[in-house]
Amino acid sequence: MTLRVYTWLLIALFYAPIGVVVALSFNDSKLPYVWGGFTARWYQALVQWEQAWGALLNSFAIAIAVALVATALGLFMAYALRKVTHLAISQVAVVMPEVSEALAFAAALWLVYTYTGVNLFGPVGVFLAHLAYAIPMAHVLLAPYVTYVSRTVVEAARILGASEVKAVVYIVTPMLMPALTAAFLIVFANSFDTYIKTAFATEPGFVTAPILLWNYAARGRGDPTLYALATVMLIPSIAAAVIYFRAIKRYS
Amino acid sequence: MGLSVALRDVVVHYGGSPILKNISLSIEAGEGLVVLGPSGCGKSTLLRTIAGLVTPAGGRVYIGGVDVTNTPPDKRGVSMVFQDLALFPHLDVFENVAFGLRLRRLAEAEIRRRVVEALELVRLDSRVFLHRRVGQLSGGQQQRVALARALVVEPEVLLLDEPFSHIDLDIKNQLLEELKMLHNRLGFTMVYVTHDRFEAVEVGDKIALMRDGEIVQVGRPMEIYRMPKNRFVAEFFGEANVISGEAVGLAGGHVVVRPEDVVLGGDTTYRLKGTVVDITFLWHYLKVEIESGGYIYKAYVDLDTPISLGDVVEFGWSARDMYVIND
Amino acid sequence: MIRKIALSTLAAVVLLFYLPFAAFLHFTTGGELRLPTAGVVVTTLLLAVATAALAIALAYPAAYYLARRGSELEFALLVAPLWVGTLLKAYSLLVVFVLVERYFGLSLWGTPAGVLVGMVYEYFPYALLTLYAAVEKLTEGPINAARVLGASKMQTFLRVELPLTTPGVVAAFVLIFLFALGDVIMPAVLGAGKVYTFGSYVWDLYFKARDILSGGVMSTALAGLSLLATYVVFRTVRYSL
Repeated sequence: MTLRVYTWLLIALFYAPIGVVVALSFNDSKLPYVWGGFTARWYQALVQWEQAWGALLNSFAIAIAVALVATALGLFMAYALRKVTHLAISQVAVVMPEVSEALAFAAALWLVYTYTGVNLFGPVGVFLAHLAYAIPMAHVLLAPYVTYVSRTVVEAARILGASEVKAVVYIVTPMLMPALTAAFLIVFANSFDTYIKTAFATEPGFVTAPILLWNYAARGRGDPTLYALATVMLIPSIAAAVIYFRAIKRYS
Repeated sequence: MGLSVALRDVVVHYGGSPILKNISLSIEAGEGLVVLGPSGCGKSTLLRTIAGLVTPAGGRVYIGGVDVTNTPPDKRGVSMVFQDLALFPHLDVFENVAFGLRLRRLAEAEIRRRVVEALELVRLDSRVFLHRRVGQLSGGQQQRVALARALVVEPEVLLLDEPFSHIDLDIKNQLLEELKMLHNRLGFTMVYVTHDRFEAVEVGDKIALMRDGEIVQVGRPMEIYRMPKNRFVAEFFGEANVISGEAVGLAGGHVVVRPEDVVLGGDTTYRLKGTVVDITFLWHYLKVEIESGGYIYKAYVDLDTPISLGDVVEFGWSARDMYVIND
Repeated sequence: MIRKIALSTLAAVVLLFYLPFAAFLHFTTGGELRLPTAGVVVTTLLLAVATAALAIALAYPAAYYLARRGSELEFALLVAPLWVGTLLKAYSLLVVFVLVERYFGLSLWGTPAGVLVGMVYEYFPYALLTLYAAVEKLTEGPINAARVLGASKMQTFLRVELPLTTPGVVAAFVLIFLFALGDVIMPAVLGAGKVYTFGSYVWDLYFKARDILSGGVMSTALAGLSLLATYVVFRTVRYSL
């Protein structure tokens, strides 16, 4: 009983800061500690703030692309490379400290620039930087579920006339649909929110939502419009979490 | 009408150790061959090699006289029932059976007709089961769906890998009988793998006995039973008394005497005396174990034979019931 | 074909995450390496240890409860913060800090305590998931055996359950410790530049000093440390199963 109370207390504690930001985005006052009544004006301001829209859209586009490619490649890896050592390589890549992997990627982009003159910093760099982390992540996420598709089921499909690719398309993919959805969402939410990897791989002209939030809010600057921006940025995370827990239930 | 299957000097390795050692085997078109052997003897690998799921390190595989050694499984025209059935859990009964037909791009009406037909063939009522999820079916019903799925594509060669090992004896016997009838009626070539000799004689016209990656003997059940090639075959394919040749006055080797040929009392060529150490009731007869000269002899006798533990009895067999083997 | 795609992808992963170790070569041939000061290292280590310890202490009771009697909703609610971006969390905490200072007079912004709160907030779900996995694996057998042999509930926990979940605790500790070592966002946002960590140092090497090679070596050193630690964790977890 006490443990239950404790658990719910933790839950309350963890949602409080986010709740405060959401509440303040509807606060008709510029000061966070003065409640000036309900308003939607900060959202109106956000709608008119073109840079914010552009940033949200950039984040969304990158995240969708990263999630699609990473889920597909992660599935291939989980399916074709079942050896433990293969998985360990991805597992280690996933637990790399964030700043290390971001820097490694920035270094890679620098090398490309120095030796070929091709400047990838910007949208392409951000996409690749996110993808580099998202692929091992999708691999690790999908690997446990691939065993759910037994070898003989795939073989049965092959004998009934399916080519290797068709067996993956008609048998493996539908059987893994919930896990694929889950992996897609996690990768999507992760890419949408990430700041460090983006900061290292972008150029000043390409701004995503976290970059914008950092530029204003992290320095303690800006007005409640940023609360509205932060609230909007929460939507993919919440949607991802809800769908994820529904999807993953199918396996239990 | 089925296609012939042949293997020539097939070698398969797994992780450095040989699973199949130089296997050569011919199966005639329309024949029903059972590959029988203890677990780990390579019989499943043999089947998977025919299916194209395993690529041999050496040798050739022929189906219908055509070399298919490097043909992928989806292009071999074979069909297979797996030990764990391998039904598609995300599809219902209809879609499971229709899977192979869809890949052959048949018209929807044709697919429907053939699925219903195949379900009838394996005695599943399509009105009841067509849109059930496979997870909701009983073991026997799943078995039938797996069989229907394999048959619906009208295979020239049907491969079965211990398909009935996980179901109740009664249902198993019924399915075995039905399978035999389907084989006779549809005329496909059948290769059936099992470790169970009772199952083997139920379905097979011919039996291939395997041990340690090699085929030891191929023949009709009766031939193998009466003329086992060696001690392993004699003991694996039915019960046997295997006695060293010297004991019966031969220069060497062994002799095989089946327990039903061992007679208590009576006037037989070879006669021994021994003590009854065990008696087991086996429905149609009693199995009696008699100790004599360091051997335990097995004998099947009539249910009403007056005999009890500890009795000292005379027993023996005639010369024509004895088969000599070399090792 | 699928195997080929998968292998090339794996090769790309290896190249990206492991090739930076080659940066060390530059310094074996006489490059000048800029090391962080001892103060930075100490601050970082202390913060990381505190974060890991605190997150585990907070998460253990909840993980225990979830594995035994928890509902799916409770589990989902506790794990879901994983999906909220670090920056968003940092920003929310920043707002909360402003309120806390106003109403309680407690100043957290720009202090190590503030950064610690942020890191625990960020890494708690990892502790929870790892510990949950460890507790859930416990079977009824040893627990019932201890009870039948006369141990009270508390004794059973201390003498049977806790030792059996130690690998989970170790794994969680190492995982969070590593994450915390490399954290950039929390020190930057909640530390307001006054709490200067290893992560901040690497960050500045790249963005301020533009010394990409020193930064590379620093971060690969960190990565090397995590390789080693991950290996230790895997061994611990495997041998205890």
